[in-house]
Amino acid sequence: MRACISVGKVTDEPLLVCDDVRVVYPPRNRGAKAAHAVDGIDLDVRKGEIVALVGESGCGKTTLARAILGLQAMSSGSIVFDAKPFPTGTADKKLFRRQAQIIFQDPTASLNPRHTVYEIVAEGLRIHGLAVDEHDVVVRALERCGLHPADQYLMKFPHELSGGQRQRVVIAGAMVLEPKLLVADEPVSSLDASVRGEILALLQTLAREQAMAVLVVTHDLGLAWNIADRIAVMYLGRIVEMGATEELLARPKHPYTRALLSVVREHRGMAKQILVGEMPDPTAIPSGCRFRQRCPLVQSGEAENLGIVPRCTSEDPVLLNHKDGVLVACHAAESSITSAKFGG
Amino acid sequence: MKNSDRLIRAMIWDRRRRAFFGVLRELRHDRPGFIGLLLLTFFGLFALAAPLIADRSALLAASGRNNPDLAAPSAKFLFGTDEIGRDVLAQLVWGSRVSLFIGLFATLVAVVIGSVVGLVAGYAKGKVSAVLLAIDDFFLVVPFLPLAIVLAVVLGRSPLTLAIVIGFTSWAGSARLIRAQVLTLRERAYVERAQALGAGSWHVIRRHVLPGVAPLIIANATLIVPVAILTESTLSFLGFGDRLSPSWGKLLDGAQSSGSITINAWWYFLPPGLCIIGIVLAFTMLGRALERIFDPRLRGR
Amino acid sequence: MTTPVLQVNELQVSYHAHSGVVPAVRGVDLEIAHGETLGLAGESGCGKSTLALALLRLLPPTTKVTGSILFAGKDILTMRPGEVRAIRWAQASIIFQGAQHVLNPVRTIGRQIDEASETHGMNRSGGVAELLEIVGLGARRAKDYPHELSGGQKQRALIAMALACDPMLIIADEPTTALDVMIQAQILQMLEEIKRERGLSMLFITHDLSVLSQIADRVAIMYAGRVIEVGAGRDLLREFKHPYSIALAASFPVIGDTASRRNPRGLVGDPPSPNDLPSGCAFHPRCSVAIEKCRSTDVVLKSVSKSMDRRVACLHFGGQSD
Repeated sequence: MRACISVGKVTDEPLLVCDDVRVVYPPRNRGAKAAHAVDGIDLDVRKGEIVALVGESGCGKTTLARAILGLQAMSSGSIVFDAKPFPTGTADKKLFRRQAQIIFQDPTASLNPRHTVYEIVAEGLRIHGLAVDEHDVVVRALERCGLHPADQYLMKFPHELSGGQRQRVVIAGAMVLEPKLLVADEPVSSLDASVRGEILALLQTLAREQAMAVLVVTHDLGLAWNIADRIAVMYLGRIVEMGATEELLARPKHPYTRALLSVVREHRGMAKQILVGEMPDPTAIPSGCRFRQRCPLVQSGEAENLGIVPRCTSEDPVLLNHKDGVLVACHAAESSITSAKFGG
Repeated sequence: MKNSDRLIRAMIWDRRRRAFFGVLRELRHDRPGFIGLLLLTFFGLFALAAPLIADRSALLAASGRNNPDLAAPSAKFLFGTDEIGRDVLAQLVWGSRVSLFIGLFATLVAVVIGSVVGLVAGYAKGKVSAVLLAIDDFFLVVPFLPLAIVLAVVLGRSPLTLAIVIGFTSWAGSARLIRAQVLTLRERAYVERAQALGAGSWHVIRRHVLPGVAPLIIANATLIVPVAILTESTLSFLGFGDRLSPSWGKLLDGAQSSGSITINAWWYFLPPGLCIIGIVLAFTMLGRALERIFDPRLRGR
Repeated sequence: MTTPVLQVNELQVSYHAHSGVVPAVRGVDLEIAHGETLGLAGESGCGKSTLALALLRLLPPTTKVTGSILFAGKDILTMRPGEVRAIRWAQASIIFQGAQHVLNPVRTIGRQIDEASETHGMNRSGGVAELLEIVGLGARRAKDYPHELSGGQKQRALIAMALACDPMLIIADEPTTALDVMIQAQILQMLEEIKRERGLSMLFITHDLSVLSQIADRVAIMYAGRVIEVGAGRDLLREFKHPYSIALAASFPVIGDTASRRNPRGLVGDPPSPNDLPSGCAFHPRCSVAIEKCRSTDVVLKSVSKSMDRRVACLHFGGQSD
């Protein structure tokens, strides 16, 4: 059973549909357990929309992003891209690569230090043997990504560029293929703060102008507020809450989202909730609700009052449609009493 | 299309030129490396100038008939004569060609085999890599001299076969080195980016791995040459070298078996010995310098 | 008036690169009172890490350091090596960025913390166990090796080490940068508690302004080797005056603020590199309100308020624009 959300302005048919995607790493040695990095994800992204996949390190967001692009093998589940099942043959895979691109976190490492900017940006064109006026395409891509006059940059090497410029080169290199889907894994976290705005604005513009579906993987809720249409909050391999940005950040329903929000910014009317301990290892996912060991509702006794503790311990909550168009996976949120309490 | 073609070609050549002169420039600052380079140039010229220094006929046994045997250096014979009266200098200078040729060609063979094995073993995963590694292990462990001797006897002893034999017994170390470097390069983020762009293995190897590994191959090759030359000299000294061509090792063999050491006919064994030491030193100094020049760059990037 | 725990005057740090002399810190004045946390924010190349290392004379001997750095009135720059070592750790300690590189992978956490107090000839009773409890790691972890700890736990171990000799001042250089927000919040909370209980002063260096809003009493913003704005924490972060500070603050959007919704704001260009600084005010090439004078005049920190300590280094403030 999959829940769907539509977000107004964009076309209805999602470009990317993930159904119960799982990525399991086999045990490292005898006696160790398997790691369920991605433990059943339902997610879709539409053309022209920006979805932020938010979570802390170890929650599986990067693994999911790489699985979507085929850089990491999926253990089970299905990914449908552009109404076609996930490619298996080499030719299909190559075509898929033209249409789905990724930007990695560290622009310096992503660029071969021996190649010039021109070669880096043209690489995609050459791999796919696209018979175009290469020079023209490269120049246009660089200028669209804010590097002009492009001629000045063509012969430069990565070490001659600043962090922000390098990331623009990476983005230009992806844009020459005119992808339909762009996955950005922490696109600005290794850049200086004052430089981030421009790169994020660029991603936003490209998404709109190219009607490109964009999935941004990040730990930064502020970034999601800045540019995302929808947010999916991940915890230990699962999406625990998903919905339109304004709604989710103004009235978070899941206790994890509430806690995250409370420590990130001075949020009005929200006391700081610092969770104890750290996110468990994906090899040791707790039974029932995976968040229960750190859940403020359990620790404050609230869960006891609501009578949901037995369910929290034994039943894995499913992402359900809450009112206000938000999906939450929490037993407390399900309860009608609490939705009145938390909904405001 | 033409515009970008010209641009790319110009870029590539410019980059190669810059890299080459960059290396030369850095060599000038590296004292041992520079000395090595000078020494090599000297030996190279020495070998090339062979016809100018001595006539080939001086190598024939017949040429020594009218000359005094084991004569000390004189105006006529700068390095004296050997036990049958032949001009030592003539053998030295023509022998340098043989030693250098075998050394360089053997290195070529070793580097080609080593690079291919190292590249494939490093890039491929699973069984292919495991099999190649096992073969490599074998060649690493087997004592190369006995193997070379056996192969030389079996395959014949012309300079070409000798070169191939020597090359065949010297590739294992390079393969290991190159494989290690390929393993590192393979994990680089820019390789993953190329794969995400849709690149197949061939593109990745050609555009990212090979350029990254090339400096290491060059530095390593420079260090294999002295090994190859020494092996050839050893083989010749032991009598397993080419019966017909002169070589430094052969000179040493002749010197030893004619008892010139006991009678202190130094002009017979000292020149070839010094030449071998000299050229080995030269290549080693240059090779180490190249390693120094290339390595920090590799690490820094 | 009690002597401030730390007083820095006219500090200049330059180091030698093959391209010439590079000015990393170009004249910084700072002071930290007893029990106060001064937040120092800035981006790459601004000199904040160089400053942190300079304070304890941890820079390589080829760097040129001028000015004065007074710890409780005594200038560390004029001390002999023995006295310097006494200052290090016993009066002021430092928490470095990047725990994994600072911890020795082949020694247990307990041994490494012990090392710190041993070097100072102190024998803390209950020593290591107590410290580990304070930082929330638990005494049992003393026998663990660094690789057995998570990122957050390693950072806590570093903090335990910094506390080993009961310093008056802790210099924290990006202590929570590589950590997740929740772990970061835990550590900040812990630092606050420790600070309160021991009356510690802290110099908290970071690029993340939102962190400073939670922990700093006073905030200083650095740009291109200089402090360009300084003032009390609560007040400052809401009302920056310097154009750079305003732009920097805008890079950390406030969730719920419609002004930043779908409107990512930042600066054009990049933070300047120390070996290629613009003339006059180093910020003028990126400044939206720069005037002709900005290019040629060297700007200094001037007070902009009579009632409280609030200084800005900008020609538009402090009556400098004519």
